[in-house]
Amino acid sequence: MTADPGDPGGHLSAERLAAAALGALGEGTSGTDERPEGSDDGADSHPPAELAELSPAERDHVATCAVCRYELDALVRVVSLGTGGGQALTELTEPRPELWSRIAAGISGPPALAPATEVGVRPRATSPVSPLRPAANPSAPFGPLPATPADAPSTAAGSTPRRSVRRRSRAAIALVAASVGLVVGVGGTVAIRQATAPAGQVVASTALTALPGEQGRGTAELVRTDGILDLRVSVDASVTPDRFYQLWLLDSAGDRMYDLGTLPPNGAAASYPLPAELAQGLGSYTVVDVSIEPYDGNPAHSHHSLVRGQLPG
Amino acid sequence: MQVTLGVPPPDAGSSSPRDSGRPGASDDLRELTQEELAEAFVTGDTAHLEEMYRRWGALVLTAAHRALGDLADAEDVVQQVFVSAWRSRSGYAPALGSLPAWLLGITRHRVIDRIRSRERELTLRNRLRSEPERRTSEVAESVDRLVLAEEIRLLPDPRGAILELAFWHGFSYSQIADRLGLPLGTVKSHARRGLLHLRARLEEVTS
Repeated sequence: MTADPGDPGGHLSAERLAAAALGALGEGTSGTDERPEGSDDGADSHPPAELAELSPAERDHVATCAVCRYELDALVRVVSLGTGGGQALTELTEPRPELWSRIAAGISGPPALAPATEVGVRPRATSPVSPLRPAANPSAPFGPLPATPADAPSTAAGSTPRRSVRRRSRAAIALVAASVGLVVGVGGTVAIRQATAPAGQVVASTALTALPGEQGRGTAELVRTDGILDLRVSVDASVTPDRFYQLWLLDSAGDRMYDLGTLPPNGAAASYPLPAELAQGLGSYTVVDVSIEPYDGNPAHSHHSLVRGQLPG
Repeated sequence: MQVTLGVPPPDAGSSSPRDSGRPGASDDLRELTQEELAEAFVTGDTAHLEEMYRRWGALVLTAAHRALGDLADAEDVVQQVFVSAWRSRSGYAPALGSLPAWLLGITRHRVIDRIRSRERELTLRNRLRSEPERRTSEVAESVDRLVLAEEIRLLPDPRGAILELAFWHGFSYSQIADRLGLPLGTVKSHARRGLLHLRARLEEVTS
């Protein structure tokens, strides 16, 4: 709708204002075909670009109408901000890997914990678990990925979740380094953990036995070192290349759990620090569970357990 | 940190099949369309927030960095934005705008907060009055630029292509019409409607 010829004072339509504002793009885009060259009244032979598209009557209206002027200014601002935006998108600043861990820590704090985990709409534990349990993964610093890199699926669909896991775990590693005060590479962190793990006193142990339909066995030992509890676990079983083992500590009701980390694929013993809440005693979290996990990027328990054992309470 | 998961009780003594409580192929978050991701995010899953971060973390960081000029400050803002997005996820309505626009809207607020607190600090320190309002609107421009760029990128074709050619590459309407094989009037009409759409989106983000 152009301004009503019979009512020169009528507001301009949004489309007319948009057409006018697009004139601010410059000569090229405003186009000469629609420009009311011949209708110029001479008093304003070089109107601003955003007015060039308008007829003299429309221009007169905009000059005196605060409503239309405001809208036009807003549209001109959009045009002005919109041009050059393509370059704005091509030169993005990539976040440092550790930035996600800060966010993860922020959303797993007490205020956000309740809705995120207690309600448990979906069985997932991505960030609430990993940022706070980073050290529990000494054998697989990048989560499950480096465990069998050559065996991991190589299709696009298969590689997708892997990167996701990798990033999450890198973030977790950053937290470990920060909390322990280590400024060493991932390998260094692992070496230190494994070197110190065997020391200490075994305060409880259990055999891990296969669940029905599964084959495998293992042992779990609760080791106290300087008053702090670690869980040392080894599992003798063969995992297919497209799966990995994950270690969990379940409560006796089986509806709550801690993700302690990924087991080495070769059956070697590995030591896992317990969450701070359990470091003095297990409470009801006495069931050691090893699950078989696919490389699907889903950090939740797969519901597929291999072996279990119960530690004395 | 403990989580509640629907795993069978330890004494159930059986390994349950992987069929319950766990989506299969749809688990691949990277495959989700933006709309699917938005829908899933609202129901509250940190994995979806992380996927959002993977997709738009750089966008948010860039907006904050350009606005604030300081990378450490910008990283603080990114953290605030995603934590805030997480906490207010139930208030996000996909109908109101795209996820990136929503994130940038939060970014804009956080950037302005930060500028104001900088201004207050300066004012306290120097006992000088500054013009925080003008300053913040200038600073927010870099965020708005990215909001618009992202909106243009999300526009379906041919409208998106027309705006990209006009805005980003300085093509004239007739050049665009030639290039896309569309009537001149169609190109102009798309450009106008696209502009009005951008204006409405920006309004939503900045309100």
